[in-house]
Amino acid sequence: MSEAQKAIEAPAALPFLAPLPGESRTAEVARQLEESIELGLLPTGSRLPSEGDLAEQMGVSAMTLREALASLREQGLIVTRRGRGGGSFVQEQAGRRRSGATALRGYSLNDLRDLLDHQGAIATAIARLAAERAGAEDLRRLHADNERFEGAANADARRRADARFHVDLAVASHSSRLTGEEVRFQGELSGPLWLPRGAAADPVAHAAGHAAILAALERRSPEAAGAAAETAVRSGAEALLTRRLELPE
Amino acid sequence: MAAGDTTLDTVLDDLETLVGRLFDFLELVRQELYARLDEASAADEAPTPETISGLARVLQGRLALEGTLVAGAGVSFAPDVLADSPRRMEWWTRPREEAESQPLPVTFDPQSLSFYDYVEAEWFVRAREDGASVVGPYVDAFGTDEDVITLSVPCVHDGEFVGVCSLDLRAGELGARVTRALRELDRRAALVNAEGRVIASTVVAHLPGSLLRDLEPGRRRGERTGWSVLALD
Repeated sequence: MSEAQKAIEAPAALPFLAPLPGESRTAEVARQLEESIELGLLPTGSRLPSEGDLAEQMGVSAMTLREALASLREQGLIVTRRGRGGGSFVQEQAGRRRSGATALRGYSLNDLRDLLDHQGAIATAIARLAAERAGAEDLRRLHADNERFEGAANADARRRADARFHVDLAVASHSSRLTGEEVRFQGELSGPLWLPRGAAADPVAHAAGHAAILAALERRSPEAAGAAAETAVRSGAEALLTRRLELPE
Repeated sequence: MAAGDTTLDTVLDDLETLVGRLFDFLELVRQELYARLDEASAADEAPTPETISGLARVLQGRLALEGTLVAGAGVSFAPDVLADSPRRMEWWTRPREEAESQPLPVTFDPQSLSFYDYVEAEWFVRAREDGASVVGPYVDAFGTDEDVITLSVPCVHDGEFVGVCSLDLRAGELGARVTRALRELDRRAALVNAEGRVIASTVVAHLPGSLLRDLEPGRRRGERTGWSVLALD
């Protein structure tokens, strides 16, 4: 760490966010700190206030704070150094990680509903066309994507595999415009859907949705593919909208 | 070709000639690559991005001659062939609206949503496994975002597979050219690839991108392309 970065101290008072229903105190403190990092309120390389100060500021016991910091360390968001000039520092990569909640809060409920309406319309059209047009290579890739999705070890891998499945489904529609649209939707919605503290979509149900779409493509049934895609989009949209309602404006 | 002389066979023959000429382009790029890898071997050095930097000039020069039918061309290296560069595409695109070709901005970070995993792409795998290949039309979602047909050849240097030389044809532009030829026929027809995907057509029910099924196994197929020109009346 450079001298310049060492000098950065986190702001004395952080605008902490309202607790979420059902969160433990430790989880709440950890989430508030994570979001402060994601939002850049705690800049990369900056030193967090001392444990005593931070605990007091957040109105929690030293024990709760220490547990929350341990969870941040496990996630690689902070690193703690002992000795003179020591303390807890925000890791280099941490600021670039965005949680599902942070991404979702960027949309008002109206904007999100509008985005999901658009995505739903496109997704259904893509699936119908893919049922007519998918070739052997298209289907092979989609199966591989869904396998990768089912085997994903963490939220980020799941997000990437799911985004890839949906973009490859668009590729199977052999329309470059629809593919371009789907790439944009995945860029916007895959984070809120899969990243930590996002919509917490159910991976098992989602994989079953992929399988239903794939089965319809293999049967070459545009009706079944469109219906399966609509079901999948609806369940994702419901999870996203439900989660958005839980988050502050 | 004089009007009136167009037949299903001449349309396919012309395409085979065009594609053959484009494979010559790839051969030239491949020989340029080998020459540079030879130089590195002779100096007992592992090839680096620096070794192959001269390929950019070759690719740009050739692309300038090709017009807008060719969307781009380049060399995609097998993983870890170049020192310090686990994945590398020396790829130049030829934008529709500009004569100057440009390097393609692609993402090789596997953590990124737009990660361009070319090693898994059909044109890369087919070239590696089967040799010279014609793949598509397909939408290149993580590369150029265009609807393209890719011609690819494997590069094997000192017995080692080092990568693939390939070029992309704009499917729409090729389709337009072929459609002009198909219009001269006295019947309605379509150009399809080996799996029956329509590249060009004069039949509204079978537009480019759609799939024709139950193709006659005995149909004539182009030697290099695997494509067929079918009468649909």
